[in-house]
Amino acid sequence: MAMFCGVAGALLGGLLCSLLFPPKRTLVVDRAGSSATWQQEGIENLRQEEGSLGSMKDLPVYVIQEMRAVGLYRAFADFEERQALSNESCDE
Amino acid sequence: MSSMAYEITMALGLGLLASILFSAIGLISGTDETTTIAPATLLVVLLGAPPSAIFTFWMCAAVSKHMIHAIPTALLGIPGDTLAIPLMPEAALLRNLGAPHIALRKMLAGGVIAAFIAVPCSVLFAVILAPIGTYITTAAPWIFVVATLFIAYMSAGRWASIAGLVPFIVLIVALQDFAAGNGLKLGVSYFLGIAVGPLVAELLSATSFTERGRMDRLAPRETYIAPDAKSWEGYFPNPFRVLDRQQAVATAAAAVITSATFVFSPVAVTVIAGELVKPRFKHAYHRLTSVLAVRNGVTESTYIAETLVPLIAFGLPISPVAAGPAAPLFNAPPRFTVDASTGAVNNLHTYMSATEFLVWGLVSVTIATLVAYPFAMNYARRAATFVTTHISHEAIIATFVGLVLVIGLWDGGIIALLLIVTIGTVGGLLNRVFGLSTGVQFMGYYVAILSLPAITKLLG
Repeated sequence: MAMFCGVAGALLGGLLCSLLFPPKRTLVVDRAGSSATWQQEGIENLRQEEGSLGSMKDLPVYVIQEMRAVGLYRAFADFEERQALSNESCDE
Repeated sequence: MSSMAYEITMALGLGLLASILFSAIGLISGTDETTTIAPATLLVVLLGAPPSAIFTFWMCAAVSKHMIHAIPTALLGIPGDTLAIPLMPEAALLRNLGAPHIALRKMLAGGVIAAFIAVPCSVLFAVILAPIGTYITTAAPWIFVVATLFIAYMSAGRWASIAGLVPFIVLIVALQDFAAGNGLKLGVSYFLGIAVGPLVAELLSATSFTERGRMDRLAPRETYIAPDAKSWEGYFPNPFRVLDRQQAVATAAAAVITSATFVFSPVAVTVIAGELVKPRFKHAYHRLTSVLAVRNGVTESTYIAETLVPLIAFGLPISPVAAGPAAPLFNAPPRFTVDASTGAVNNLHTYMSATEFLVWGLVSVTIATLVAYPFAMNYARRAATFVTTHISHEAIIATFVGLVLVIGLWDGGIIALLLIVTIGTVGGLLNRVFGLSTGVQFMGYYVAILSLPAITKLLG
């Protein structure tokens, strides 16, 4: 019984503290910049981390469907296209 | 009520309680498993719950926490707990792509599949190893030395962890003598001191002028939460639909293999499993989501195996998880004990059969999945927003200080509290400065009480 009271006291202390001291964090909900720009930045970031992205041709159908649903398929396809173009211009 | 009906009711009730409680705790970023699951389980043991109820409580706590820890990890970008740290890089990359909810879903589905596979695999593996159990118990003092050195070498500190163990073990022995000089034989306090070490060290640092600079911030920390996106009907999304076939197979295979690697650091196993599956996925996006599913699956399977295998086969805490967050299942004096001189055990190993472990293990995974999985899938964003805006670190610290006071005073009054603060300070600093993790410290404690008497006897 004494232990139960002690545990209840500890939880009460936690509750009091959460009322007395609000968290010191700032919540950011909207991100600045158009979605396309930061998505392309995200993909570039991924390419740097992973070395290479791999080819879109290697993707199984179900992964393509998932990427379309998340809105990432177009972004990855655009990125691959731009990369191919820049590689070609380098070759020339 | 008959004793059997009472035991079943308690096992289901405490399992449900742990699932709800640790789903809530899992939302709070940075809550280490050892500092949360271990003290709560200890309390359940000391309050006299039946063995099966203690086991379901621990299992439900571990399984639900490792599902919910995906929320702060994927959505907030702060590791939910220690084992979520290896998931951070992939989660951050997917968040940068604006798809943290995909990261979250893959992690959760991987966790559910792996948890269900790990229970039977661990029991099977334990049964295979059990016949050599008697040899293991006789050789226990020496096995602890070898296992401790190995785990210390695998920890972040490497050689520093091995060297740091010496003063730490001497400190434990000295404190034992100090307590004995005051007519006390303490058990839980050592263990609690190690568990709250990181917290004690951080609190002391915050009050020190030399250390405070490291913690100073110019502005409040910014936390970004991505918009919600739900793509299924009903309340319970099928994990096999969330993962594709290739991902499900990789997660299941990783769960089976990691059920056998029960002596390694769970963080190391999680990292390695992710690296091993990477080459199998050719495109970077597919690789990211697959690694997240596999790694979070491994956080479940390695925790289950590292507890079940030593518990069923030997009754000795010879893995980092068994010596850390699962320690009260092995040693919670006066109820559960590991005898220092003979290696004889009196704990869940003695009270439950392998079949009971299997049945209650699967029941626990089912309860935890029913509570944590749909909750995380459906309310992830709202929960993350609530935690970020309402629960402060002050509240978490206050609750834990309160729990430590209750258990410490119960174990041995003021002397026990002094001991907890001493071990907490030294252990916490060893952890932060030298990378001597709490898991290694727990092993060090066992070396001090189990192996050291054998070593001194051998040396005459």
